[in-house]
Amino acid sequence: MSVDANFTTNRGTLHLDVALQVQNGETLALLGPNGAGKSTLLRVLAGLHEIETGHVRLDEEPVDAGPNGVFVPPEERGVGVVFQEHLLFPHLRVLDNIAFGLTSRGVKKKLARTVAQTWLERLGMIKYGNATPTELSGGQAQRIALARALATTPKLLLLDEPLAAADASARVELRRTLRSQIQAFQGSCVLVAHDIGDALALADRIAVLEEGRIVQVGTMDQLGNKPASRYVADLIGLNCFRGTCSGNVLTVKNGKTVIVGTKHDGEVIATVHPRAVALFRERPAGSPRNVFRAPILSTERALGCIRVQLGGDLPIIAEVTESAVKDLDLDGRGEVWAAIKATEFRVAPT
Amino acid sequence: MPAVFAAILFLLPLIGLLAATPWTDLATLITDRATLDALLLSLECSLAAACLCVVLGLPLATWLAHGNDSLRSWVRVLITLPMVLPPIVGGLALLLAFGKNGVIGGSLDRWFGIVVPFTWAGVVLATTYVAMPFFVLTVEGGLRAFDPRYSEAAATLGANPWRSFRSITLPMIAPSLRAGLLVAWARALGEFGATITFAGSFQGRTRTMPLAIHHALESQPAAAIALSLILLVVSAVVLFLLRRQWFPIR
Repeated sequence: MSVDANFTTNRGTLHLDVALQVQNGETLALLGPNGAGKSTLLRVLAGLHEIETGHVRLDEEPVDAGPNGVFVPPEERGVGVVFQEHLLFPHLRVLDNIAFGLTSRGVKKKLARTVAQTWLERLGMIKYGNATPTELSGGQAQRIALARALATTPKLLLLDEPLAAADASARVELRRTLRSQIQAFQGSCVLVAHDIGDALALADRIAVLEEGRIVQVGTMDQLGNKPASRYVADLIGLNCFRGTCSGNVLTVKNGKTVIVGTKHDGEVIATVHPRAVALFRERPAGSPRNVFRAPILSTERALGCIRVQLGGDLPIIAEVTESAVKDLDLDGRGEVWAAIKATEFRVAPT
Repeated sequence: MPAVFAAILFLLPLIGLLAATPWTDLATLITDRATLDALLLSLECSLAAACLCVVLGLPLATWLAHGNDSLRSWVRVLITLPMVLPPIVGGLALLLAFGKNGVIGGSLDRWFGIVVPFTWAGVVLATTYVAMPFFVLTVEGGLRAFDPRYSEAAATLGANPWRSFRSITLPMIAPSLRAGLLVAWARALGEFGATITFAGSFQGRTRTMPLAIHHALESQPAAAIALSLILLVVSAVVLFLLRRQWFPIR
């Protein structure tokens, strides 16, 4: 099912103003700080929250056209939802939780249970059909919630932080299950991701929400190449500076200037990948245009590299290899020389 | 220590009642026609009142639980009134409304030939009037504590509002439904003031157990004690039978 949403609405203090398209069969991840409106966006698509202006269309059919227009209630939208806290019905056994959506749509109880049974098998939960939801762990409950949503064969699947309820040890396994189920799922999928890792693992594209607006939509590469905000840059681990450019001289907030490889004028966001920040014990000779001395604040082991947080005038993160750390004796803290080539800065006007 | 005193306070009257019971004449007193009439009438009327509480009270409780406007708070005051008023005042008010010269009683009689006061229906109406607030307020509390996100989950699974209410909301608030029903039934079983004022005390028609006890107390105190014992036993048996389902100990 394709999704075409272009609307505004309010919920509490949040003002949501969103334009969003999801293609048939595509999976879109929503990322953003708390309170940015991710859950409310899902609620609008599910029909649990009404819009104030604009439209929401599923497969070209309007399902919400504002206060004076069409409104298709959630039970008629064919949209499956997995809620953050699974919300399994506590008085029904696991099997009947999965069968609930089918019996609600008029399927006979016996047949609904047979179908529910196949979903238990598919998710490796065959032993738990007669359990009550309170007997399940967070990860297991979320699997059943996924089965419950998928059993109704929705055309659009919405998942609100599906990994939040699982504890750390179960998360990897649950993410794998989600990944395979989403891939097997025929319809479109919109999910609220907790972090960039979940978004990358599960989705084709990422939409970043901040304060009720979508600041950027795209693939991971598109976001990384030109992050639209500080938040997006932080999200994908880039160093990000907001400042004013005059020619190829960028002045960041605290007055520090750096030389960038392209010419701009006015307010810009500049990003530089941590790998592009080189560290030296002695002042390096040669071509780099930006060389400065900075104190090491901390070092952190990341996947296949060490991330070094530098302080000083230009707080920045450098990624170096383990052997480089040994050569530079970085564990001893102190100060180092940092060098960044001007061409490594990506500058985009805001 | 205060806990012991409290327990004794509830135990002593029981002992007093049992000590004064005329055990030798008990069989004749209990099988007396008037006694059986009263017992049967009490059970019938209290159950009918309990049913009315569900049929009328559940929609009212649902409406009350879905909002916080001033109309709802005024209605809540209105239905709390019978809990606070002496039942005899309630009975009198019912009489002034449904009596021959009452606000609607006259019209009911003239147009439909329906006379409510001093009839079986009058007993049920009076006991419902007194008992329903307990049911409504208990169930409203349960509904307000119910997490509406479960209804939302049901809706996304294709359940229309009625099915969602029936298969999700009601089972999930079952404890408050049971508690409300039990309290309302108990209140109906023991109802005296409103019943005697509104329905009178006619043997076999409107004289329920509490009324029969009151009636016997004037002429034959031994019979009053025997009747009290019966009411005690009936209540105790019901509480005992329902203890597991209604007040589960965890």
